Amino acid sequence: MLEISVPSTFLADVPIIISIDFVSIIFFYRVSLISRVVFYYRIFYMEEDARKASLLNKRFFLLLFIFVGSIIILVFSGSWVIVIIGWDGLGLVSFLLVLFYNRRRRLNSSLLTILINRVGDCMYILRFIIFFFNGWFFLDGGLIEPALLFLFILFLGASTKRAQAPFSSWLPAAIAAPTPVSSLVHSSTLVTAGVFVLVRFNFLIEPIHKTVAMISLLTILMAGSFALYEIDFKKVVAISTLSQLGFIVYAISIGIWYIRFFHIIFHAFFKSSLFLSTGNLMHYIKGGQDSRIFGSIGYSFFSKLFFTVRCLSLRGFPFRLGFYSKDLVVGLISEEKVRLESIIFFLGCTITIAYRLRLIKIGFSRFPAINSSLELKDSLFFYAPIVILYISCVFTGGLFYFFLPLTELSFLDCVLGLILLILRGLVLYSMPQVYSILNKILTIRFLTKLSAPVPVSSITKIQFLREYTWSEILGGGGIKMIFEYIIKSNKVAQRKGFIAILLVAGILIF
Amino acid sequence: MLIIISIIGKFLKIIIFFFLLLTWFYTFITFFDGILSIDFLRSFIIFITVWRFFLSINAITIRSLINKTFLLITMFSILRFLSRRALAFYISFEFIFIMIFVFLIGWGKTPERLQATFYIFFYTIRFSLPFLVILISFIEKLSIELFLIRFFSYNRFLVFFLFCVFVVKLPLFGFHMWLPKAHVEAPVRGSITLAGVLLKLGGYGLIRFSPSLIVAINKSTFLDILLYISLGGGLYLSILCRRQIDIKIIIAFSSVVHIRIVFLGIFRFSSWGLYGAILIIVAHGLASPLIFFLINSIYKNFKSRRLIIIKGLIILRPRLCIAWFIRCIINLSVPPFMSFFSEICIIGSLSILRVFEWALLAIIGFFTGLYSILLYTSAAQGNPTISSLWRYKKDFFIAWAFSYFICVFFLSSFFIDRV
Repeated sequence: MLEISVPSTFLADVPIIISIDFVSIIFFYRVSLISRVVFYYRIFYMEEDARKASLLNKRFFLLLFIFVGSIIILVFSGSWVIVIIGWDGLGLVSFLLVLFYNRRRRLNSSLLTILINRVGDCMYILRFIIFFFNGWFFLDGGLIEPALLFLFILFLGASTKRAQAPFSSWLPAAIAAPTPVSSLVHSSTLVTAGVFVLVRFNFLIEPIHKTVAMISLLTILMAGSFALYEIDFKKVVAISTLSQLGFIVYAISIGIWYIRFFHIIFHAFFKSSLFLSTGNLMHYIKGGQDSRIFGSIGYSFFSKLFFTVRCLSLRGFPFRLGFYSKDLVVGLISEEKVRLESIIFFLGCTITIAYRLRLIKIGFSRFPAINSSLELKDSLFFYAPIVILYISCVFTGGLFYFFLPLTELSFLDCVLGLILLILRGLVLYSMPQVYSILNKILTIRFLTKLSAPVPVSSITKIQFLREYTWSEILGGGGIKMIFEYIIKSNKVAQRKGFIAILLVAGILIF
Repeated sequence: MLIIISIIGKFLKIIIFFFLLLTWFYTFITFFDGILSIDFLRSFIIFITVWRFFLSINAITIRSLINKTFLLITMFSILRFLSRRALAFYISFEFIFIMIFVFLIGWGKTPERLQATFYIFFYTIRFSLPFLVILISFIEKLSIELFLIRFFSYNRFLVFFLFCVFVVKLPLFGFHMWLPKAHVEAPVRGSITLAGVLLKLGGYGLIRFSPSLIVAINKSTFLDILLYISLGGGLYLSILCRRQIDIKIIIAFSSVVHIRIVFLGIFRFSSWGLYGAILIIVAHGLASPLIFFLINSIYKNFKSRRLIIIKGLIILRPRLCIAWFIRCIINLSVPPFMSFFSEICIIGSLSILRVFEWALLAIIGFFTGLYSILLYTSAAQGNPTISSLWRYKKDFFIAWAFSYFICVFFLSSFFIDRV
């Protein structure tokens, strides 16, 4: 914990704290590794689109650089003043990155992204009322009983960034970004920023653990049912982030945040590499995203191999990366007594496995749409990033295991594993009939409708004739109208001889 | 590139010189017993005035009459901020509006412009004449400094007029109708002057008279009503901004929404709120002339200010687009800029409010974000409606925009240090 006290007379109680501990160091290691790889991949990616336009390339580099810089600021932050610098930087730069190519569809999805993030920022600014009122900025020390309202604002504000249940519509929309960007967004930067705040300040949200658990379980189910129905390859990969984040937040809510912290890191590794290899696969079919045209396993064999291995590690296959963190959590939950929550959690686990299998089944077992003779020449920047991340996926799990606090490596109970397998089969084979209903009720499409067109149409319902509104009528325009009316009535009175009538009437009365 | 750097360097030198001079005044001549005096707040507002002057003389070359009035406006605005006697304050206070009247009417004679001039004239004069009456009624006490008089220990009825004379110039919601009209009809220099100096006038006056006002309206229902007018007006105008088609009207309304926070800060009568108000006045005075400068440079090429015509800025001028983006997000209260720190000062100074008011603040923040982002995207994205040839190939305005941005950034860090 490194505190830099700014010599000031007035804003004396605003601390600028940089905290350096094992959480921030490991996060920093992960962010820097992944961003280095993504920067390599960027060279390959930009060669295709903008070989001539060097300005585009430069802009892309700068934006990515600011993006990574702001997550690093967030990682090393120890007080809320520093957190918000990284927080806002992430939101705005991700907006610019989704908007990188000047297309209409990208514009829509980027607006969805920034506006939902903006909701979180508003919550964040509101939090300062309580900071000032209580007189603390650092939440480590001097902690008074935080108000429940504050906790809800904190939680809701964080859930906009990590795309939890009410705010999850921007995440599938944000895949309109270039592939390196979406691999950064989903793995290490934007989405995990919301989780990182919860990890860093996990002791704060203890009073509302019930709500957190409910929302995370809802997110898992929603994401699963959406992914089981989707045929867009990249979108399924994006949605799997959602369900993994639901996992992480659920684990935080039952109080084992340190294991989940490692799961965030592992998840970042395989998610970034999944996106990069998805980009490679899309590159073979000229940027198509429909999973039915990806061709059989023979075409672009190595990319598909890497993809499949990473899917395995995401599923928690023994001694892959996901196993070390995921198995622990599932084991810990299974040791507790059976509740409704844990049943829903296991169902979510099985759905995760089911849509992975479905994706591989559909994606890798059909005929390709494009002839393989069109395969482009592979450069170093095409394969090297994926291989690096592949190696880290396979081998770093064991290394990280030594950092974990004292926990036993618990294999799943045999019975539980069997139950999971049977459930998986059921989910796979009863998929279209059962899940079409679930899909209609729970999906993100519903949320997208709720979050985008409804507010927009309600705004357009409020009609204004340019700036002439009722405030004009109350102000200068109204006075003008009154005077005009008086003059007009005066004219009428004079013309029609009303004054004579009035005079006569007056004489008659008195 | 070298030329641009040298130009930036020259102007920065001038500005830093002015700034140092003013702070020097502040340290040595605080007990200057005369018409004029200077202190911390005044030095900053005069810095903004001078900065705006240098910005706007580069914006456009115009006729000699307008040049003269423009110089007069600058001189009198400096005098106004420096003055400590009642008569000097009042004369320099109102003379600027006469000059603005000349400035607007001298630019052309369309009916809309005539309406705008009448609006600005009557909205301001309606409350400044009672202000003169107040000053006359206290004529035997005016030999000492103006701002030290506690007016309302004598007559609490006068609070309304003294309040309104500054609130019209802020402007608070309800008194704001002259602002969009004047912005639309004014040339770029007029807009920069309006945004950079005239709106600061109200805030300056309220801050100066807040020791007097605290006696009259502290803990009264009047204050609560004003709070709700400020919040509700912010919400109303930020939704209204979403539906506008002219960029200048959007900017005018958005500056009303932005400056509303000054009002909230001053009338909590806490030191946090007061310093937040000073910060936001400075931030707004630096930022809003910049956007009129940028709008001018866009207007010169597109020959329009309509949102549907200005498209594809990111294809035509990527570097200008960065400046445009930065300016648009300053409204969002994003951290490294000064508007963020001022906003959290003021929102913090509101202390605890009811949940309804929290929700209102959050919704206003959201809609502010909405129109700022839409302002950026509608100008930056899309297919350009003009060919890629720009008639004015000066990169000068870009250099200005960037130096401006750096200055905003620099000053924010200074303020955290100093205030």
